[in-house]
Amino acid sequence: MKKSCFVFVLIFSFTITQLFAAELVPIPTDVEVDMQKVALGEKLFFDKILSKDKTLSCANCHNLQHNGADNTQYTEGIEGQVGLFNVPTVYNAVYNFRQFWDGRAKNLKEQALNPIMNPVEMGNSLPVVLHDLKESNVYSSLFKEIYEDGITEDNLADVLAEYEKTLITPNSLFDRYLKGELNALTARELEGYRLFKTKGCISCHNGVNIGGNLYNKFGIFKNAESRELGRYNTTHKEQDKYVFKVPSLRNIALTAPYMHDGRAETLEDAVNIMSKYQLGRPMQKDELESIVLFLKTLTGEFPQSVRDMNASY
Amino acid sequence: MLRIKGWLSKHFDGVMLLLLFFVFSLSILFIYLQNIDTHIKYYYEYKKTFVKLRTYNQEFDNTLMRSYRYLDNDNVTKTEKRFDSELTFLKKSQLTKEFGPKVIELLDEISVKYTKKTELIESFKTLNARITSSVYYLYELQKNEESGDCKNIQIENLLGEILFKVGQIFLGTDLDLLNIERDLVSLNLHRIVDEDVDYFYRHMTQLLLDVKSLNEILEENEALALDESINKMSIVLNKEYFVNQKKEEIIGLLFLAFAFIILLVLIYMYLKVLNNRKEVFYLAYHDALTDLPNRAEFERYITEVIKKKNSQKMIVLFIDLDRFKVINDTLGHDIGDVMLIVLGKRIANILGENNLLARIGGDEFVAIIENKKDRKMIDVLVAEIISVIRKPIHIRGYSLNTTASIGIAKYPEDGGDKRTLLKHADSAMYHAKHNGGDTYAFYTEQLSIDIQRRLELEQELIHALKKKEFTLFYQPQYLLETGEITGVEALVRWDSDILGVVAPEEFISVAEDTGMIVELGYFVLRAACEEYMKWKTAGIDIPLIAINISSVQLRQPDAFIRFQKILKETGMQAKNIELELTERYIMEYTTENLTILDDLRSLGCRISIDDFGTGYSSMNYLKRLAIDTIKIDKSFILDMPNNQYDEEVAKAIIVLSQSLGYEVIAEGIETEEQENLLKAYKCDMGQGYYFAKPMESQAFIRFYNEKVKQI
Repeated sequence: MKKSCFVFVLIFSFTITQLFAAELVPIPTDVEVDMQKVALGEKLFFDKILSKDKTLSCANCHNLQHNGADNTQYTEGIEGQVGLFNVPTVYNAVYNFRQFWDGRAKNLKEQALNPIMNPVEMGNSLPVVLHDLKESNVYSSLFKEIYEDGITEDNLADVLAEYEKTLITPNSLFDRYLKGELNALTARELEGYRLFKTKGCISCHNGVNIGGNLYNKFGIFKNAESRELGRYNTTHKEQDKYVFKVPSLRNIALTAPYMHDGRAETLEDAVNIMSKYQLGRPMQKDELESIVLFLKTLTGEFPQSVRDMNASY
Repeated sequence: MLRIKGWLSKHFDGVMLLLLFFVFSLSILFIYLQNIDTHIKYYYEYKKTFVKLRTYNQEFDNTLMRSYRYLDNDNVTKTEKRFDSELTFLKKSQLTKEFGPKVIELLDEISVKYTKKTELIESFKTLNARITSSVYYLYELQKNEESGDCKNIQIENLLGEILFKVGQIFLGTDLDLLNIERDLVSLNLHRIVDEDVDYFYRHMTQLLLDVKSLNEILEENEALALDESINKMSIVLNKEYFVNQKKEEIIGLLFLAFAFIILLVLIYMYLKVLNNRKEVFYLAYHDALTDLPNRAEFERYITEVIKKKNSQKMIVLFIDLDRFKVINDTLGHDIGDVMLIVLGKRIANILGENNLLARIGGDEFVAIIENKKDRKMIDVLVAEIISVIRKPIHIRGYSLNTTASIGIAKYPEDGGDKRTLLKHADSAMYHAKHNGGDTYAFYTEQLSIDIQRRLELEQELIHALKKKEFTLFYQPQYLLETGEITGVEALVRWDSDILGVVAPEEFISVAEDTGMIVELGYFVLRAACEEYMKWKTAGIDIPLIAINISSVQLRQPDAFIRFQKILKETGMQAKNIELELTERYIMEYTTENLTILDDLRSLGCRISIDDFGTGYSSMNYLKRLAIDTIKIDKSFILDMPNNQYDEEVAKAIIVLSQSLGYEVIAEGIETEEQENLLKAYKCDMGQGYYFAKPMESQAFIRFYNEKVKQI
């Protein structure tokens, strides 16, 4: 007994150190981009020309003034159609290892044209979009300035992605704490961070984006009864059923409702669901509150370009 | 084809072609080398890429070894992106072009395996996150149990047991599944009792599943062996690289070999050029035909010798073959060439090794005899040369004879510098030639004078006819018996405004040599005829007028026509003309121009042979010739009666001529004694100072009238 105790303690502390070796890191304050492309991308991001009936632009569902996403469970696409997923935020999306809840797009560029062509979202077709863009002298000349081959599918995606790269939100309270501003967080918030680690949240929500760098099954210890199958749609493997990309927790305080199907309306709900389905551990009320307080410190500064913009759309 | 070949062989010789071939091959090799080089250049890029791929794969495998530990997921994502970009680089590269289609296969294999691996890694990340989190919680639960209020030893022990077994995996051993299951079964009973136990149980169950899946993933990764595929490709590239490298080496060696060969060829060409130069040098200074030194060498040599301050005595011989041109023209150049070679050898033999013999012209040789030799020895030597040249030469069944004229000049007496020396030797040689050839002559000052004089005469003669500087004098011919004038000989006189009176002995030969004699001759003929006609009108009737004709004149194709024309124009009758031809040239009347004499005779002219006894005529020949008169040369008359010999000769000529039916006239009678002797010998006619000197036309008219009065 004593012997095994000794071994436990050894291994235990070993594990703990391993976990506690996991720390979160702040996001960079700036990115390297091609400014010409960014300007054009920005213009297109706000242009309803990309949707079939010219009622929607990217910015409509990914509201930059608010949270880079929407505040409904499922957003409406054109002609009042309802989407399948809760809109993920475009902010800091550049730090996600994949795009979309099922991770089918490798990077921003691969993602960019999908909403345009999705029938329940912007409902357009590429030939039409390209044609419409080419009709515009402004776009034709702007594209020609940057790309030798002018307006093409590839260039359109490229220019949108380049703009989206600039949509980062550094300097959250928590980032400032990590950078050395020790009084950026209150004691309670710090307690929340400690719990975040010890409860095991950090085992999935880690890295520069506090998430967004691996997949996991939604409903490990309890069946989450998700309508969507997630990664199974691309890999067709049994073990990939209900496996989704772990989302980033940055700006989480702004992006309610939560989960891929927007089932959690508040952060408390979300953390509750997480502890039951994912962690398989009980969470005390005060523990939960601390964690929520911590999560609220993850809200960063919006980019200057957004702050300068008018809000109304 | 032949034309191309011809053009080729004209512009390029064998060596050049060889050289061109090698240069061409070198260029081809060079281009090929460049080609291979680009192959290899890419190889380094690819090699780097493969090293990177291997490194990234190693990182993946390292990640997969970090089970149950914290993973830096961001780092894994980064590595994936890098691997991806390298793979894309390879796919877009010239890999296949450089290294062949097998490489595409391998690349696809790697691509497929990599896709699989990324999936495995994702699954691994997922499972590992869960497991790590669970393990932590399990330990926490166990700790809770230990420090908890309601202590259940049994539960404590069970949890301990299970965790102990779980702990095994940290030490690298497999889970003791059987016993864990057994423990869990026991634990199950306590779940309802203790919430923590429930959590523990549920987490353990999940953990076991996840660990199982994790192990499957690790096995799959092992089986995948992406590193093998990467290595395979590396090996293929390496092989290709080595093959190309070997090729490069071989080409390099070939290059070297070819370059070396080219070097050898160039050396050979250079040596050939050097040799050619030697040959050329030799040829430049030697006569190709006879292999004797040529003019250039002679000039160089003689200049050298004269330069030497210790100027020894030296003799220069100009050896000129007589009438060689005739032999060449009649027998052909190839025979002529052989003759020259043979003669060259003969002369060289006589001269010996120490003396230079050179061929400086078509049939001209020059020899330099060094070492003092006295006059007598020179005589002997030169006479030897003359005789050895005279010896017959047998070529192709022909037996050929030729002779030479040799001029001798002594250094330094006959000239202190090269130019003068050679000029004088030349003059001496011409003198010998003028003496009939087949002889030699030493240079004398007189010769120079002669030549000088000759030149002057030549110059003035050209214009003399135009300037009307010629006049005719007439010397009567008379019957010895009666003193009756039978005819006159027209003699031309030249009074040059520059040179003064020039004797015919001087200018006639010059005129003959220059060819002026033709026009001069016709002038004389015309003038004589005109004069004769004048005399006739004046009542003077002489049987004939004798006019000297040169063989040069008669050789002209239009001689007969011109002759006739003059007769017609002057109104002269042919029977009154006697043409005098010198015996010396009579032998030249071969079958060619005998006809002219016949033609003239048919007109009615008389022919006489002048200066008889000084030439080479033969009896046989005389018989054939249609002549009328023989004129005994004055050299025989001059010394009569003192010279017995001359007298006998004159007598013989008279008898011979008359027996053949010719008339005889003796030239140069100057004394009564001579006249009497000739009368005694029955000579027909005479001509000479004793009777009358040559005189002008007016003077002759007076003379004639006087004589007629006398008779």
